[in-house]
Amino acid sequence: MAVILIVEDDVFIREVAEMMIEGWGHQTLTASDVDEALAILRSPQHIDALFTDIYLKTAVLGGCDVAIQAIALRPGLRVLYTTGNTITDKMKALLVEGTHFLRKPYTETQLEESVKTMFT
Amino acid sequence: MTGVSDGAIALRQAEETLLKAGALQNAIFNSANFSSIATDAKGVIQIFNVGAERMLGYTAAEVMNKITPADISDPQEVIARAKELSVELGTAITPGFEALVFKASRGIEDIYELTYIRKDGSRFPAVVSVTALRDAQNGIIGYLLIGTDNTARKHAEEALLKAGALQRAIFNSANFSSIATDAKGVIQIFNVGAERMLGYTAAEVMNKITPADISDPQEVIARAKELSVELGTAITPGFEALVFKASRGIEDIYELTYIRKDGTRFPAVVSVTALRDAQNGIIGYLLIGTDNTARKLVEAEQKKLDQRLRDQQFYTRSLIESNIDALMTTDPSGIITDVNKQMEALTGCTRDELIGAPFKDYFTDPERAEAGIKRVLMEKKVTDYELTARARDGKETVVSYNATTFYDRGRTLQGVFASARDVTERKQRERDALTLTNEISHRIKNNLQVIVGLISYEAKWTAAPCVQGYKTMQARIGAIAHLYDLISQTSLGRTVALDAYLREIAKAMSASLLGNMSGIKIEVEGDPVEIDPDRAVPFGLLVNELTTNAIKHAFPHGSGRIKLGVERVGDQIDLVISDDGIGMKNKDSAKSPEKRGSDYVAIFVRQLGGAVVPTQQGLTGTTVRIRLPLLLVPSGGTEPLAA
Repeated sequence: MAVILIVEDDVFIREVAEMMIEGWGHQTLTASDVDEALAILRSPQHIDALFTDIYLKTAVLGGCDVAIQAIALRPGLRVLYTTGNTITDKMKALLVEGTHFLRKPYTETQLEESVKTMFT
Repeated sequence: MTGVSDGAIALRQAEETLLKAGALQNAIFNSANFSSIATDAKGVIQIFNVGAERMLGYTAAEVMNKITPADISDPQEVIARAKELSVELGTAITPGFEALVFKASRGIEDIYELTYIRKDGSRFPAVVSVTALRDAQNGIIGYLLIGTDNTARKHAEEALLKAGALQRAIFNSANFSSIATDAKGVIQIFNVGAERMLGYTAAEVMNKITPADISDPQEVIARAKELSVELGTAITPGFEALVFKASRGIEDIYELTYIRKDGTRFPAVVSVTALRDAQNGIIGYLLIGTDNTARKLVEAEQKKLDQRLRDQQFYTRSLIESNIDALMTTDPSGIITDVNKQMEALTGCTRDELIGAPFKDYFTDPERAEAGIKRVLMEKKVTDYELTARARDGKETVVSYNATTFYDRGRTLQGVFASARDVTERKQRERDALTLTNEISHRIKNNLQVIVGLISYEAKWTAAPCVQGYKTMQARIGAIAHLYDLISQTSLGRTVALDAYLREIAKAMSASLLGNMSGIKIEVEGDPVEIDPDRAVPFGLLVNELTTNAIKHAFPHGSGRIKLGVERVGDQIDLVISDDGIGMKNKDSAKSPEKRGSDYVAIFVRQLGGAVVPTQQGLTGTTVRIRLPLLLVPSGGTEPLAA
């Protein structure tokens, strides 16, 4: 089973996601903004994947920023983005290559599928 | 010894005498510029010098002892000369060599013009001087013909003749007034042109008045004053003022108003020449005048046209300068050829600095600027092409360019005319609107995510048979969220393009419900029709329900095709969802999830103000056709026409 870092500024959404992911047997870590996420990523804590919301209240493209720095810190880390917003070309240019994307609102099944795909 | 031998001996003696003659003769004889031809008494050439060889093209060997000078002369002229001399001298002279030397043989000095013919057949005028060569007893032993090429002189004479003809033509012309005076200015000659222009007969003016009397007195006074200042000597207002310069040998042409006998006036251009005697003393003046009225009229008209043109140019320029947009023209290579004040303000450079400089240099992205010019040249017109101008002080302004090619009257491409509008504020408003849209979208989607999350949580504690209902509910919420995105992508301002909208729905459903490996394909065939944004969500939900039904029930073997289409039928739209699956089956009427789905279909159709069109169903496949009014809201209106 894997260790997944969830970055989501909405407490309810974050906790429901945490509950779902743990329900499939994974371990979760959570952060609500860029700084918290980077603090965890810089720690010696083992992490297999990052599941991040792109639009964070403190930074419009905060999730993109987290992913870029995360890959720099931990090459080979799996990344799954999510957002309810339309993906613009500007946003696309900021997405790390070889990563995955899930549109909001997502169902439990869709999240499960995306997590599985991320690890294949 | 025969006579001929004696002659030959005598000739040689003469030749020797000739050779012993003075340096001048020697020089002439050896000169390449004089042809010296010596003959015997009968005319047969004996000597043919270098000058003769050069002028006539024969070598001495070719002519000596063979021909006479008459054979290299124009035969017509020789005949004519023979005739003339026969008359003049009262004796018959044979047309031939005799005609050339007859006078000389009679001891008369003879120089005449003659056309010589060269070996190559070309001709040239020569002046020939003939001398008889005599022995000690004064008997003629031969002739010496010295010739000079007269071509240059002939040309000069012809030119002189032409000039003379011109002078005569001017003097006799009714278009030039020629007035000759004596030294004091009293008119002596008054030609036809002067009579015609001034209305006087020659008899009325000759020996009576001076040209000053038929000139505007004010102008004569003014001219006297001017010349006095110019030449530093007091000049009397009168005839002197008209001829003073000419009397000093200065070429003089000026404008003057002549007054006719009837008192009317006309502008003339007068050219004055002093007439001189052999000792160079002035004996009079010649005033040649041309009527300048037509030219003056043309000049006045031209002046008016020039002024009108300047006014027009000023008006056009003021329009360009008062434009709120920065205007500019470039040549086809993108070099600026003209700008207005707004362009100076935009770039912080002066007009002089901008003209001649490359257009692209004034933008943050020169390559895009250059590409813009190339696009205009290719497509003849470009609209709303955004560039960021960078002024000299570093200030950046986002501008939107509209540009076209422009041509001269001969339809030759001159370059590009471009106008740039400052869209900084508009861009800021767009950015603000986008930020707001993103923020709202983020909140809506998060709220929907919360609802989906709540349902997921609820479903965990629900009995298994009910779980499917929760999942369907989640899928519908997901569809609504997605439709919002699609509407924003396919919206053309007030309306939503249905064909593009259907394609997006098909793409999304294929991705979320079918996956890449599915044997079920969703295709779209749509006329370009639009609906109002208010109906776009129920329309999308309707498509979602019908397509989901097809996916779930039409293909038990997991493969087939679903077709989504919109057709324009008059002022209505048909939504057609068809599949090539197993066809409609009788279903029980229990409230299964599918039944609820068809309830929803009925609700959405009513919401859209439409109706299901009954269709003939085949053995296989299912087709559902729903007819909707084209627009609930007329363009520009706000009130619904029908509910």
